[in-house]
Amino acid sequence: MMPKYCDGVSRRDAIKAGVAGAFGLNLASMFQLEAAEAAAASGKNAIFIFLTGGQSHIDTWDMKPDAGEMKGEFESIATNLPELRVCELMPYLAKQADKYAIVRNVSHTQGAHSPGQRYLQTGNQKIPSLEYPDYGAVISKEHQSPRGVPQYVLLPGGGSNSAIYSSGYLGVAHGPFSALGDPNAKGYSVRALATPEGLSKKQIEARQSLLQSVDTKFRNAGLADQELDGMDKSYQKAFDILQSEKVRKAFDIESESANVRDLYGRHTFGQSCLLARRLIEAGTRCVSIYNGGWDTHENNFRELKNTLIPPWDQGLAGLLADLHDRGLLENTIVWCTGEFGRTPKINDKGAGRDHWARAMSMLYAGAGVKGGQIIGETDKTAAEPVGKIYSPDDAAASFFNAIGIDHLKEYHTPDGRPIMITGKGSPIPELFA
Amino acid sequence: MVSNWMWQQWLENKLSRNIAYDEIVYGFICATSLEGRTREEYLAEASQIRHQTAGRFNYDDDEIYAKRKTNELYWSNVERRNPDTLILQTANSFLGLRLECAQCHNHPFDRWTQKDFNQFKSFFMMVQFSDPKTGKEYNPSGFKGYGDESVEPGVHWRFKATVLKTPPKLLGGREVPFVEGGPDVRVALWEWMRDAKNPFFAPSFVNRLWAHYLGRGIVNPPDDFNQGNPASNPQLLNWLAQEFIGKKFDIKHVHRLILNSRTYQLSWRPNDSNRLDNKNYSHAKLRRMPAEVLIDSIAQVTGVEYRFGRLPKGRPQRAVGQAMPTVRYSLSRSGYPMKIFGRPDREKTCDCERSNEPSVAQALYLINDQEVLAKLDDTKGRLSQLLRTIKDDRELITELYLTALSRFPEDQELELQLKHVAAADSRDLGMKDVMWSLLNVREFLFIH
Repeated sequence: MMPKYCDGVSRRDAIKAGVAGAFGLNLASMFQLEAAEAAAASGKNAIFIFLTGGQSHIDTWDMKPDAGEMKGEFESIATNLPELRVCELMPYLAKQADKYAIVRNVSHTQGAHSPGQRYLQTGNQKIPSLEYPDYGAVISKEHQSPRGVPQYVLLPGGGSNSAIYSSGYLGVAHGPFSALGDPNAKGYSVRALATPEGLSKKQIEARQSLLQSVDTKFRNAGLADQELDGMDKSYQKAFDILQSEKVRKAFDIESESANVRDLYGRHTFGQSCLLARRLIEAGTRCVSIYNGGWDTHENNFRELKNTLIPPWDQGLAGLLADLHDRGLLENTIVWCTGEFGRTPKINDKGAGRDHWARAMSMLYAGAGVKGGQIIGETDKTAAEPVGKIYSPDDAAASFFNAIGIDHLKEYHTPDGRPIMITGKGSPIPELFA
Repeated sequence: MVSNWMWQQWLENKLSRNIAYDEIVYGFICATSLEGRTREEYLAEASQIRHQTAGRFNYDDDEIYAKRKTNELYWSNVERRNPDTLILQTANSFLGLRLECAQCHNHPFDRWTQKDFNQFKSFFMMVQFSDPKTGKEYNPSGFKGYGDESVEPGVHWRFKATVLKTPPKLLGGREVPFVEGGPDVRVALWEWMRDAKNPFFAPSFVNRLWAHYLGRGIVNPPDDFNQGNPASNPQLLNWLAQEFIGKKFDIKHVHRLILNSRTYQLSWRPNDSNRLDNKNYSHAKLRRMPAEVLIDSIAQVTGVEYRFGRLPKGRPQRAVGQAMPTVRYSLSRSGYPMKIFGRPDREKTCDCERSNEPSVAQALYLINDQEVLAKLDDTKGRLSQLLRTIKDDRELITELYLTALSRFPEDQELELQLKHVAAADSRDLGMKDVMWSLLNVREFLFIH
């Protein structure tokens, strides 16, 4: 059977149509079809900030001044939302509270890093027989970007950052464009786009045309061969990215004004947030920022105070303010969470807090999320939610809902197993009230 | 940390000596630490292994663990201590079955019920860690492998002295009564697996080899034998399995059969009647080289190897045969291409975990990654050497084609490349482009 596309054009027809200028097998027609689909898709974008290690909720968003010895070392401060008080180390976020919603009643049972991270990165509990895709992989499948712009970009957010991403059953084709390196470093450049040691644009053009002329084998083979097709498309997209001024400009963080760079803070996390905004402007649909080191089994307070909270506070607050000022927050969801919270009890090992999945806090902002609210509450030591409880599945469903992806949509794994994106959750209604 | 190498070398030792497949499987299924020796003998071996593995990767190729008959790591590695994991891994690796569905409920499109699963699982619950000195039973999580000096090195297996509520039962076969102090029930499991009448053991192995060489299993995916997924050519599968059994599970015999077949040697070129066929082996399937092969090929063509960190003594810096532990997490060094070209985690048994799918990251890597470009620039690399020794452009281009594609350039190709070199800023830069193009053409990237 000939493979057909939505408009009834077969690939053979597409090749016959022969629009000039594409690489190898002529796939320009296919890109046009894709672009048409893209236009129909939602215009919403996503920034997912993952605080790996597990952020202490009781020391940040869910302070308990009356919890006695579990209260911890920090005091709370007022925010621009009367009912919300946050940690004294978060002065920047305290000024942006009208823009975000804090969810305090998410609870689950996966108290180890790997299962917890997979759960919070995918909206599905980890199982041995199937690897679920990260949010960005799903978005890359559902939302298109302009030509030459990668749909899903992964940024290093600093800290001891184990980039534990996977595109799971959606396959490596939906994996992220991974921008290595520290955007706060002088002379920052991206490994895949690097030009100083890499190729100049002119050289790339010359090489592309050389390759086009000599890469003539297998032209007749492709009709039943998806791998070959896929490689052609990948090369075309790769050359597009390499030639794209948009992407290059987006990554040229040094062209940003000093004021704006300072707003986000001169650290890896802050500059990663700034890059995220620049990429969304360029047309990227999902940016994931991995900010690690929150696993504070020892010296919880010292670590939070000296290393973890200040850059996170400044970077995230800068991102929210800047997205808002540029009108981007309307169409961009920002979701910030760890894989779990931390124990209210302070351990004897050395003023640390341990893993605690039964209560955690998350931040959502933008893309239709009603800002300036607190959703849910926990008991007097922030140990468990009181009343309504949401799961990470619900949290993920909310995220997809905000960017116009049906979280119950069914995919087929490579061996044909039908799987919903996140089948067990439903969006948290208060977020969109 | 070195158990991955112990595992690798144990298996290499068996494969290189062409040990019969059923015997290798015996080494996994019926593994014991003692292997019938006294505790003292075993402790001496364990202490030697620990001594040699004390330094990180200070480990020879010719090692004690590799020579052991059985491989107890099959049972003792962290993720495998859970009987559910063991049963899934065993069924998947040696029988080509995916029993995951039956773990929680009756399999929806196969014959296995949850009861079958639980009864079969009993085979994997009959072993226990114990301290060889005192015989005291261990909690399995106390055993951290030979590298850990905080526990006794000589942990060994013995039968649990409790009669299980669910006696072990072979899949679709008989119950195996468990007698305290009686024979090892795992041997009965192994005997059943290797029995000539077992419908999975030999077929799943020959099918895997077939899939490896032909790009698609006769049963496909190759590790999914179930009643809803029949073989595309049952006669062929049966014939290969009978050959394998008849030659006493001689693995090399099956390799030879496949490689000498007309089917394997067919061209990729389709004709009008078979161009849409992708499952009857009417023509060769074009496949991108798997991650490790591709990486080694780039190293070989450019003459500049990848570095994989410190390896056991005598190991070449080569991607094939690497027991890399943390590919998935590594974004730097050589873990990066391994990851983007789809090498699976080493713990995964499922065939679905290896991805040969193309991606933009792969193309970007081959087109523009510093690691690849540096190999073209390397002054000790092949291109630099050839630039010095071969002064004639035609001859040099021909040499590069022979190196990368194992063939002479066609006239038109030669002309195009010559033209490109002539137009380039310098001969060196032009030739670098030629070599770059040969690392990026589909003819290089695809097995054909």
